Amino acid sequence: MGAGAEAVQLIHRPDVGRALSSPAAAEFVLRADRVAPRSARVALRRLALGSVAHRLLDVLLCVGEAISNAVRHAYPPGSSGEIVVKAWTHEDGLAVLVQDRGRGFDPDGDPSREGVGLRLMRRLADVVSILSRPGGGTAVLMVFRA
Amino acid sequence: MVAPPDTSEFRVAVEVLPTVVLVLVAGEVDLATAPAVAEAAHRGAAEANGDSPLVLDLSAVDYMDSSGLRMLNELRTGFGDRLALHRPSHAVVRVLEVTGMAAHFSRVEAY
Repeated sequence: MGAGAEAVQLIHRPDVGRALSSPAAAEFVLRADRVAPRSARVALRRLALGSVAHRLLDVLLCVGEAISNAVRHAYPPGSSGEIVVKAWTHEDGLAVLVQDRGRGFDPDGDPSREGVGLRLMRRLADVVSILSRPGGGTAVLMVFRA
Repeated sequence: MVAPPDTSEFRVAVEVLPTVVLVLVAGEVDLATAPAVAEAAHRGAAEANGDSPLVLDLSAVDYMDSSGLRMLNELRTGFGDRLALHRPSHAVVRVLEVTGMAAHFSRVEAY
């Protein structure tokens, strides 16, 4: 099953779907530059993470990696773009969506070419779903269970 | 958005001691700051005599991501056995362990 189908399935799961259809606890737009990961971490630290507060470092790492990937790969060198971050807090956990409108990639491509950042995300988040296609931007959804 | 004031400002300092080049790192090591650590390490090594060991004191690093890990791996490639980590913090150890890289780095307790 491709990563896209996995994300769609995930969104249709009652628990995740309910969380994502509710208003985000935080939503912010970052310029895709080298300080973007830090800006997101500062914002997340100010958000009451409640049920996943004990996993704060892992949450910060995963979100930082998703944003770093967008900064490094989404937009052509020398051009600027935006990264949208949305976070939903829930008694069962936390969902974070990191989205860019950049060049995208084939998420079903060779997994051995995955970077360390994505490997870290897959190890530390309970769910990592990537929706992307060449030219169509990238959305990374991460779920951290309580 | 405007970032609020830093709670843990990134800092890096180099001390070229008689027997060792010491690089002290504090704060957050990420995409924005990892290059400064590498630059400091190379600068210290260039000032030192010959083959001094290069010790990175990472005890005050309160965040490190894969950009930091890539930087450490590049230093390891460049300096080989001369590179050692001193008291890597929890945030550093977490990334080294999750990526399976912990055993690839020497550690020193004293320098």
